Amino acid sequence: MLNMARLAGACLLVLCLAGQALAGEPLVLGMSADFTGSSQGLGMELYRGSMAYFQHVNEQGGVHGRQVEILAYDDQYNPTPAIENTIQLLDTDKVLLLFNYVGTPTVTRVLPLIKSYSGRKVYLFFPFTGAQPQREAPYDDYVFNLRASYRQETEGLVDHLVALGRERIAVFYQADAYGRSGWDGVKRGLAKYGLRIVGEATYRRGAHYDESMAAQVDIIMDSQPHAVISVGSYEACASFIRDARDAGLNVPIANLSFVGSENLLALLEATGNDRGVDYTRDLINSQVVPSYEDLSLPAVREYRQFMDRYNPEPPRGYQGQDYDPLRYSFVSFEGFLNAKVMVHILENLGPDPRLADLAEVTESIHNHDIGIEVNVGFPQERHQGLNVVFYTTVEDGKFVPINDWGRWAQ
Amino acid sequence: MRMSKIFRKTLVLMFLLFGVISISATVLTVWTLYSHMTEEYTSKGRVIARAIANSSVEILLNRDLSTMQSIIDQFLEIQGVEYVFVVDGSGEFVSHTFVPMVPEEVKGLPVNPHGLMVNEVDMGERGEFIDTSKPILAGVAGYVHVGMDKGLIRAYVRETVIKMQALLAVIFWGSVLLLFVVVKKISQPLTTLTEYAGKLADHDFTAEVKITSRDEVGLLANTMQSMAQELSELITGLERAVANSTMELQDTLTYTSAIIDNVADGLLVVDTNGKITRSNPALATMFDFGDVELAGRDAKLIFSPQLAELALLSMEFPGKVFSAEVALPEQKTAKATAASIHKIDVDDDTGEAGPDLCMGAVIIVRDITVEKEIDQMKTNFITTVSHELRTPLTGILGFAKLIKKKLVNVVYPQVASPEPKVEKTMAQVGDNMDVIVSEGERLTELINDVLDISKMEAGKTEWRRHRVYMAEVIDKAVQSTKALYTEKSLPLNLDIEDKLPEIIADRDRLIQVLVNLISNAVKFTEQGSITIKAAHVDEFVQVSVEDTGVGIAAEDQQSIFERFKQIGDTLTEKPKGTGLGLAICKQIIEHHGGDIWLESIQGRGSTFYFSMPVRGVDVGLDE
Repeated sequence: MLNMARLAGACLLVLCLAGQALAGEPLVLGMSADFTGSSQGLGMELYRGSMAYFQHVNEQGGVHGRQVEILAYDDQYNPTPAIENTIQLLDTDKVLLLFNYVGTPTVTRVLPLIKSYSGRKVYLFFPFTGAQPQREAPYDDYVFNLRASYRQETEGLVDHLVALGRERIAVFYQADAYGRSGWDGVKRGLAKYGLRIVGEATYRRGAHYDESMAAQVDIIMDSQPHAVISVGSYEACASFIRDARDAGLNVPIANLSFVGSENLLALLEATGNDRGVDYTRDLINSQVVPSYEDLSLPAVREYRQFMDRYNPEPPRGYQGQDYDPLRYSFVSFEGFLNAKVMVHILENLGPDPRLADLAEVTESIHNHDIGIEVNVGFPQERHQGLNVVFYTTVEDGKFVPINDWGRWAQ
Repeated sequence: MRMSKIFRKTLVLMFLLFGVISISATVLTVWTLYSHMTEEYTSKGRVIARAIANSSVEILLNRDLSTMQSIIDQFLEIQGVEYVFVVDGSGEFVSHTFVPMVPEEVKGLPVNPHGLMVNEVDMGERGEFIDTSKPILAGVAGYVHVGMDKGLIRAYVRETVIKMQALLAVIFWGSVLLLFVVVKKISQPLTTLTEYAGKLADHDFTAEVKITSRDEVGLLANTMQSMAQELSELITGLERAVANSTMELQDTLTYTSAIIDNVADGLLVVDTNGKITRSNPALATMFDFGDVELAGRDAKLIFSPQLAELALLSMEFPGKVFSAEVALPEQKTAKATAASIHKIDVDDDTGEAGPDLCMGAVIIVRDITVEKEIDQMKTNFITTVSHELRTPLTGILGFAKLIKKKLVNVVYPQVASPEPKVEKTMAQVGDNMDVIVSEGERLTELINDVLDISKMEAGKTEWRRHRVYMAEVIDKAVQSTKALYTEKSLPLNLDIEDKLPEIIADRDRLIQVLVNLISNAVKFTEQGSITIKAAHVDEFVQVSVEDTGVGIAAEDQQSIFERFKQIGDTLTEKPKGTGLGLAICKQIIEHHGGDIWLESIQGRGSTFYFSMPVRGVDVGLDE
């Protein structure tokens, strides 16, 4: 199935290449993400957000007259297919660069592979993960991140919660590299205050919303936490929130950016409406991009305009999926910003990107304004464009920036 | 379908064999697999622990736990690895794969800072694990633990066993099928043969068996067929012989039946229980039974008790014949003679006679009404005639004696005349008168005898009972016959045993018997002697009168005791008695329960014996 989709994608790409031969070969970016599994919302929205901008750029004549394409393959949020997809993209499809990979466990495992291609100067741009490995030696040379790290997200959350007097913090996390990354962040954050994680529970990656998290809730509740930081994917986190609220755990539950806030919200609202229970209370979601509700930001306006205009399709080969695209989301906004920075880099590369040094070009970007008030730069010692974390909570069925933390004071 | 016994037995054997194979193979496999798998899992755990420990020093020291997690996650994909966890130098769990939490059982597991350590961990419901720990940087950086699932080993062993059993089962059923086919091939002809033998047992010699194989079964079939042929011939011969015998037997039976059915005498056969087994029409006619079926009924209830007792008596004394008179309807009389039926089995092998087996009794019933009537008529006739004769005869005799007396005393003296002619006539008259008197006396004697026997036969004789000493009786008899034997100059010898027991009898009658016998002896003896002997023989007093006379021919000996039977030519010789003497003797002796018989050799003399029972009822004696 996966191979069929891959083949179909490749064929279409060849057709596209043929069609746009006059305008120069398209610039093909390789993507591997979950398009069919329990985290398909992330892959889909990230892709759609990026495509909204690329379609705009392509409409404007592309970059140096060349169209920008994303060749996307499904990995279902699992490392092994992610590795296979990467090999396919690099060896067979000969993509320009790797772009928009989703997930810590997947990216963490792909890193050594990318390093092994060091002779070919293969780079991964803007993976949708805040984990440490791609931000640290020996892999940081081959990866450019845009978003802030999970450490930054978790430390920020811990800082706020401790400031509120919520010192007993428990962690609910995915039993893999992503979960461990978040867990480690929380642990480090607490350590600053001489505190420790009071309780922890794990779940297995790929858990669906209809699975029970009661066992995890019991473990967490036994530790009598003041707050829970949840490091997971949206289906598992939504399931945990549902079961925690059902069990009477009413402390704030914080989720990381990776959760895909809108997907989480959609699940909780659906169940809440069915049962007449508000499962969206006391949720704190950290984000690595500003709220797309903040229309004061030029990038948000642009994002909304392009999303509404193009309403991009899911990637070729995965369009038949049973998936309702979101109009706006933090994930697609991140994808949009990823694409915007990418186009800037591609433009800087010149007409023939193969001849240029990608790392050198990227590292040369300083204080670049992408319309979110914070400028982007990729200094050689730190391949991470942004370092801000935004905190949101649910109000009126939307994630909005938190203006008043005081309501969660212990 | 019925399983053949061979098949069943072989099946059981095979089942046992397969059971043994299955069990031993399973035990061996389980043991081998389990130990090997455990060993393999342990070494796998060691390798993984070592691999993680070696590659994670840097990572652990750099505190990049997501990379750490990523590494241990990879190993989780290896089959049999249930968990991996890393504790740092302080013993804190910095990376693990447990969901939803780290179980208590793995906390504080012993470790060896110098190298690998293997522990068995039992997590209850989660199963048992082989925990291999390896220090990272001699335990300074921490320890890595790898848990191998023992349950998987068990599952694998179980799967292997199941597959093996399945294979064995397939082989087993295949073998069963093969066995079935083979056994069927063997047992089919056997079954056919068995059926054939069954038909032979039912004497169906026309049956055929179609077995052409040249093996033992085929040989057996051929042998059986030729056996059947010989049997068939044998049995046909036997059947023919039996048919002939049966026919002969039927002829004989018909013949016998015809005789029995047509004989004038009634025939009755009873079994040992007195039940009637056979009778003939004559019997039914005699007893006026009509068409009533007699067979199977109790003789006692149908016939007079007398008859039934006769039958029982005859059965009690085999070889003897018993007779009795029985009454028939309509005032008729019959004589029944019973004899027992005995069968003596003779052993075929030894030729010895088995025990005497009484099978019943046969009774012949003869209607003697007419004979009796004739006898009665004769008796009546004689009595009447005798009476009618004696009265005038007494007169004739009396007057004859009177006339002679008067002639001698009155007439002759008056007519005494010297005339010789007168003298001669007077002598002749006197002689004639003597003849008249002696003949008259003889006639009177005859008439008395006839009356006597008639009375006896008619049961009208009055018998007296005395204590009798035989010596006394003999003495009296000898005295009264003295004139006879002295006249013929015959010596009479007596040989009387001493101390003869007394008997109860009519003394005078007994004397009469003896006198009669002595008279007869004298009568037929011209020279020689007469000897009288008396002896105590058994419970009888036996008396014999022996003479040296003419003797009696054998053919006359049987009828000598009958009435009017005299020996000698009665036409040419003058009768020497009334011819009733011995008949009277017989009547007297038999009346007393005794017996009378004779032994005689013609020309050398006769001996008449009689015996009187010693026992007697000691009451009602006439004295």
